[in-house]
Amino acid sequence: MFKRCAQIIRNEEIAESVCRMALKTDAGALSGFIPGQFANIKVPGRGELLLRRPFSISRADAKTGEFEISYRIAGKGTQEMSKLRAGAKIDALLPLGKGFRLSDGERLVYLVGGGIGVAPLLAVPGKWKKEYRAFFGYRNAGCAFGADEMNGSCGDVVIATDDGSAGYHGFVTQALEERLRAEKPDAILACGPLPMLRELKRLAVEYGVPAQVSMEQRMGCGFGACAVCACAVNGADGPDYKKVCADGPVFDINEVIL
Amino acid sequence: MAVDMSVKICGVVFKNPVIAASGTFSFGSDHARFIDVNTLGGIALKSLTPEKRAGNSPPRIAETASGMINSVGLQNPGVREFKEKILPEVEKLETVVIANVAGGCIGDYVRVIEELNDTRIDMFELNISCPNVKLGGAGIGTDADTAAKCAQAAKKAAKKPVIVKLTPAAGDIVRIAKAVESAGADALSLINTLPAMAVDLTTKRPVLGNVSGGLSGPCIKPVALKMVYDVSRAVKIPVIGMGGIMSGEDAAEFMLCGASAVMTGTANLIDPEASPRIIGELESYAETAGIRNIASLTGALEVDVE
Repeated sequence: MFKRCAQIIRNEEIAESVCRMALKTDAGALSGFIPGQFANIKVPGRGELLLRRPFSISRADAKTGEFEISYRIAGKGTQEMSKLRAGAKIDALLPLGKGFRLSDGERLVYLVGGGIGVAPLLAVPGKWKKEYRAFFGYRNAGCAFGADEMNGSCGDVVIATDDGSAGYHGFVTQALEERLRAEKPDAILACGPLPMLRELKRLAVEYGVPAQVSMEQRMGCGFGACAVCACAVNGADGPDYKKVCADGPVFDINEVIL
Repeated sequence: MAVDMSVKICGVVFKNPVIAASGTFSFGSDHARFIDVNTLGGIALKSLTPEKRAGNSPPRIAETASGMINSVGLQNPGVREFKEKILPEVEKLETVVIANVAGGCIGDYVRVIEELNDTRIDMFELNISCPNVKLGGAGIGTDADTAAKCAQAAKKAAKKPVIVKLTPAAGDIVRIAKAVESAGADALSLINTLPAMAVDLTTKRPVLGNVSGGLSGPCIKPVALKMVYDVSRAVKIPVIGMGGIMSGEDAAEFMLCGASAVMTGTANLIDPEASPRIIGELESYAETAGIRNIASLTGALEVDVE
């Protein structure tokens, strides 16, 4: 992990309240990048926005040092970020945390994302050569992003929307279950809102598929020092807390208490 | 002209007066991936209690204007697991190591101190001011008699100097300071975080899982400076100042107000390189100001009124 200056190459809205920021930093900084890892970014210029903001990395090119984050405009910090223009420089800690884990054993992998939770999954096919199917859920068609980027690398990209304005009308986990009845993947990698993860846990158990989830929590440092980003887990001696930033953000779905 | 950056507190020599505050630097290893932690004057370790503590329900942090509120709740592995698994790494540190001790009752403080007495720990810091634990913590720090009893018991048990960390939540922090000084405390550190809360209008709920927490960061610096100024003039023992120090200039201000050394807290979370930078800035300030010995800054504030 490094503290690096990164220059913005592009920063644009790619869906309703969702932006994509492309940045360039030192070529070496991302050489060990694993999908699921994140960058902790300091929004420049606004003194009262004290803390960094963590964003999972949607794409990384270790050779050029270029990387992308996808973020939802959700508060003052992301609002300020959305106003930054190409050429601006930001300070980032990266790559942080423990990412997804795939080995040679898995052949067929499902990527299950809900809303902005799609962001870390976009980086997965670039890292491991597998057969992928993506299941991405959104509130409506206007919020949808990322699905078209997966067309080349995923055998199937299923979109679900809560209001039926695009793709499957219903929750992404419903679309997933319909597929699981016919086909069992070797692993599920997921990121999304808590209700989605809870339902996913049920499906993972019922259909006997190992699943990993990338968890979200308000962070302080992002590198393990402050212990604020607690995630409830099943510990050896009962419920315990782990650090989302350093022990995760990716956890086995059976480990986390959802 | 090189500046002598070293300071001496209770016989312990610090290579410079910048110490990482407890709870913001864990046990040093996380920052070690970014910086040489041995460049710091010292490190105050994450609070240790006799038994493991899981800590408070998340979320445990809320950003506020130029500040943050945390409610970690003394999450720590317990002193015995610390000794077994973490202390061997801490032993290798080549800087002053301060063990921060916390508990729900006075006996807890004594137990932790006794466990750590015969280790390389250089000093103890009593956390009698944690706003995030219901029993004890700030309950001890806001009452002069209880604070004094805690300091006395700790001092009796400790083979190393004892620093008492004071809470700004005490009605009269000077009174608490004098009480723990009389009880035998070797030094004081202040201020801990201020009790605070944040509200999420969307959910109509507190942002923090624990409802309230402790406010830190640049927004508390003026409050902290005043308390360091008042306390350092009222006691004879050394005072370590903290509260929103983000730069070497901030550190110098605390020293002028009477601090023999300073602690950096929130700055360490935002920027893992903050403390070495602050040390460099403090040295530059001293060079520019023609100060040869950084210790001479302590209490050198020129005040016209009494």
